[in-house]
Amino acid sequence: MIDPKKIGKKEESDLKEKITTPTRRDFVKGMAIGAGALALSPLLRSRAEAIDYDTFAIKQALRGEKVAAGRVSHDYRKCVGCRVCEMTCAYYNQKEINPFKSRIKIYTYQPEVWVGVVCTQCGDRPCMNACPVEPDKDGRRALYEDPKGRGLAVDRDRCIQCGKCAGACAAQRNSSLRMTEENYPDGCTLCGGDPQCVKKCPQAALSILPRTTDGKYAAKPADILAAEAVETLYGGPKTIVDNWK
Amino acid sequence: MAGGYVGKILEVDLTTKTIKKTPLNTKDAEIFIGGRGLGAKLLWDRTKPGGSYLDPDTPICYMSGPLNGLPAPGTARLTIVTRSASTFPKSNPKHTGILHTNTGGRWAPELKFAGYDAVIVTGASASPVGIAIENDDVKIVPAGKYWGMGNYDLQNALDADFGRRYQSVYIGPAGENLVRYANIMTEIHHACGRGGSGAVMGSKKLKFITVRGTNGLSIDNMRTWQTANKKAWDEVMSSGGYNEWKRLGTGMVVTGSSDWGSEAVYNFKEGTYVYADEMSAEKALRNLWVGNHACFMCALACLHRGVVRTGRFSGMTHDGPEYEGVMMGANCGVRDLFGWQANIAAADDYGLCYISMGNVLGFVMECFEKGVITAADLDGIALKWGDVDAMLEIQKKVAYAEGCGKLLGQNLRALVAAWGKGCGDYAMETKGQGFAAWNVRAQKGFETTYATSNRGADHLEGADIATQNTRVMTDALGICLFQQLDGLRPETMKDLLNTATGYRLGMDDYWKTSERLFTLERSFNVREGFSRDDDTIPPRAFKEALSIGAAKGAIMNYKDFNKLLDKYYKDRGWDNKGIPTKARLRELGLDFV
Repeated sequence: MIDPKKIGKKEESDLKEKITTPTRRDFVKGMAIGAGALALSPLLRSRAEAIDYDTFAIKQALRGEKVAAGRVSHDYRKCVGCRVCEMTCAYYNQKEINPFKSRIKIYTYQPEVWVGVVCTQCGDRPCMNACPVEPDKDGRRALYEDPKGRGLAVDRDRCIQCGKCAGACAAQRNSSLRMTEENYPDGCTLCGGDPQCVKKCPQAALSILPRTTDGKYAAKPADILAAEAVETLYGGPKTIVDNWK
Repeated sequence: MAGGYVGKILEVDLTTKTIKKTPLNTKDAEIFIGGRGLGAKLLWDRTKPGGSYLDPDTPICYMSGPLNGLPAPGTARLTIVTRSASTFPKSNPKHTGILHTNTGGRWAPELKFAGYDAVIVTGASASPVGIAIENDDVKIVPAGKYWGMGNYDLQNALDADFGRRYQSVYIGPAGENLVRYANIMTEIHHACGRGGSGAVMGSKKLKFITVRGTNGLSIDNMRTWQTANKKAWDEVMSSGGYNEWKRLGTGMVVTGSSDWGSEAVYNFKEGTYVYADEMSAEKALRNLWVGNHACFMCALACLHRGVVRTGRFSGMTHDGPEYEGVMMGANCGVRDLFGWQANIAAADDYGLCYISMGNVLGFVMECFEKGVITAADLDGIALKWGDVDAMLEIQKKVAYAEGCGKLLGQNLRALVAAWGKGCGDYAMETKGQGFAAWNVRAQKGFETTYATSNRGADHLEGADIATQNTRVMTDALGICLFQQLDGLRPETMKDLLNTATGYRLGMDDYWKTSERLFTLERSFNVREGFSRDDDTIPPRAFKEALSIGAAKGAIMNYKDFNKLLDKYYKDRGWDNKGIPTKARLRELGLDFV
């Protein structure tokens, strides 16, 4: 995969032209494919091909494949804290009735809001880039992106159990990547391309949304998400105790 | 253990500060299932008749059931079983009855993940303590810094000090001050409300039990479990009532109950409230609610999250209204939706059962109106109908056992004894416990549940024997009653139990088990001196007809009520004084009673 940061200046200006000056024919052709995001597809296709970058999973969609290269996104406005997602993830992926083993975690904050923390499949993959294991011929370190499901995968034979991947996630993103008791990273695999938590949530509070190139936009720590949620839902953390003061 | 249960009980003695882990008695588990049922057996075994709820000896049992923590609908419920602070037999007012009290949230499942089916606390600490459980690591920790905290501050402090994945049950100031209707809560809004369990916990100087678990649970037969579980989720989510539960919660009947004449209005004088619309769930949906709240594994999400945006309570977050909040609403003649929520929120913060508090408030309001008492009896507070500010002031006094709060924090009989002037005619209680938000006279079922409930005037135990049996089982399993009300069939619950644990109960066995559990509770009360004389409905229902609404003119009469009790005891297999017969006890496997 080509690192977008390494694009030369010439290529960048070429791309800029292509993207910013669509012909009418391009636009109409794009619209004919259907979805709003895909209206830009002829333009982004060239960009995607140029940098092999697939932010909206456009390539799969164009090939008629199920779009799986997104990320699980949690909506605190709809979440009711039931944790069916946790139980589903732990059972599907680890065959355990044990929310501790879940890759999605729901935290209760007061005033009441539930914040879901799950791997946001950061486009820039700080977890993978922190892995000290040498990339193999396919460019994969011990923590890598599974080509089928587009989620995280661990090669336990090559993983040296240093924990740097989880450390990077904790330091730079939302601490969703956990080290297991055997000291291997346990990350969201998107269930091989068909995220189960999204299907099972009784409140439709989970959805698959596009990844961002720089994961920091979505991968906020739980405390920050909670503070924003409390502000948005309630206008701030006031309770009867405050009303009485 | 084949499945369902985790096989271990945690026993903590706060006098000797010892912690023991004992194996779950699998024979008892099979016979009494878990939760409310196994709790009754544990209480029976570990108490002698005549003890007080304040005795250090009195055990307080935090019970999970075999289904808690499993991925079936509503497997969230904790049942606490201990001596009641609310009920006492006429034959010996120093004795108290059995208490089972139940709440949702996420605590009971977490206890299972930590590796325990139950926590039994005995003894009493000299200074405030908490119990911290993280899997095998169990500690009694000093709780001085938390003692005195209201529940809003306490929940946040526990989240900060222990971690956000810990689940906690705790008492507020009301429990600390041994208010006889103090509750035990989790996540601020889920209450083991009735019966004063908070006073028991407070008498042990136990402020909280916090738990975190990272172990998995097991199921005996995964294949047959999946079949039963799929059926369970289908029954709940495809039911006609599903949408209503989610949209409006139990608040859906604030207007309905008033329509039927079965609402608690003006201290139960009426059953219809002309202002019900101003206090309805529909109004809350439009003006207060921003989202829903569910317990562990629940799709109904019947609670709501709200915020007041205008007026003097602006910014206040809370979770109501739901139906039983009517005790501080229509029952107190309140018309101010936001002021009502403020009182609910205050009760939650203090750790007061707002059913019982509302019952006391409504009674005191009537006494004040009739001149039985004056403001001087209430430290200068003129507690008029609908006065939400006066209600807030009284609640604070009760929670802190200050001034008039000392007397008001006891029960209606204490007030009647102190004030006289015939106010006993409108004290709405059975066995000492106050009525809940469902009135009597309009519907026979509520007469049955209030008179025959093992934990005193209770709206939940059940309107007839079949309902009582169904519900004692949901409480024993750890599943939420509302799943069953929304369509989860007892047959399916039996299947969930069998496939999880490896039991082979047929429906006959299931119902026989339910009779056994209910009769054991009854037997505990009988051992303390309760009998038919205590299965009462207050005088108001027999002397005053409802005067407005659809049930206008409805009144009870003693002849019909006695016939009701006669039939009830007969159908239960008890004698005419309401005492289970020796033959019936033997039949139910309760030979030890």
